[in-house]
Amino acid sequence: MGKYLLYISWAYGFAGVALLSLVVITWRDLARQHRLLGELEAKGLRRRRPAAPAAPIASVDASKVGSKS
Amino acid sequence: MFGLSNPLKFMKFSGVLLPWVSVGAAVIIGVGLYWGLFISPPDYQQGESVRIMYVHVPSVWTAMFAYMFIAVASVVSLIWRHSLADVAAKTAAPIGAVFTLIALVSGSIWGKPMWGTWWVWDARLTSFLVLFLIYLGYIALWQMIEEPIRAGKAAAILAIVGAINIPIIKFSVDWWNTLHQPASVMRLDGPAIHPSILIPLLIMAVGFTVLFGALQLAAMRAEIIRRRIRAIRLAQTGMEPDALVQER
Repeated sequence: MGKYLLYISWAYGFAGVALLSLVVITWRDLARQHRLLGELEAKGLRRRRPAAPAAPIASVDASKVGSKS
Repeated sequence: MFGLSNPLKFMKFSGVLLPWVSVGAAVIIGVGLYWGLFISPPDYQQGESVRIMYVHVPSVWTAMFAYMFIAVASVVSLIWRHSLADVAAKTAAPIGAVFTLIALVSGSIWGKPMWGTWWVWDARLTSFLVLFLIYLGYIALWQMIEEPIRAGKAAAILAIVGAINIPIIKFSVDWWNTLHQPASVMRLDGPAIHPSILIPLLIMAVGFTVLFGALQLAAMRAEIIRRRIRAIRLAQTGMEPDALVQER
């Protein structure tokens, strides 16, 4: 490629860096949006989940409460 | 095709298609690069510097194709109000701008050894620089106008008006006396390039177009999810349902 090698490598180098950066930025943005949506949906699911039936509150017999002395 | 304008169907379809298109782009560009750099012969006039053409010309074609894609999507968005049309137009702009920049820079690098200068204000180069500026203006318009429906409309009008620049780029070498060479591939009487150079050029052009397709699918998926997230957040803060339906 002789005397043109420098020009060829500049052209291909610039195009390679520009296209690879575009690919990385696009795919990272897609992954980020997927993650954010996943987090949002997980939060929403947690919020919408019906409350578990409350554990029965043990009735307290007042006569049994107090000092054993 | 119009069936895919439903975002849910598009997400399903693009999810299956994206890995195949991405791998396809990598393979085709790999073959084109190998053919262009190591198999194709040097040009009898330009010598080895002709190899810059394998990255310059496909970038030019992809940049112009991307702009026409934006213009058609803008027409569809304005007339038929397809829900995905302005998503498609918006996401294609940064991709097209990068291809335009690659075309400008690689052309400038090619111009130095061939013409003895990095840049001349001839019709082809200047109209192509105008394309890059239109891309930047289009992207800026989306960013500047806060209200998404107005932003979409304004950007669509700019894209349609700016489409007049595409035939100017194509025919500038015929209408004006330019330093840039006239068309040598897309001619009525057939290509003026020898097949040993034309084949790797076409392979690279197909590769760049498929790469544009892969990037566009990925960017559209990201934009659809981004709008969905915004809609969910607005719903949580109690926005008007109409605002969510028209959310762009």
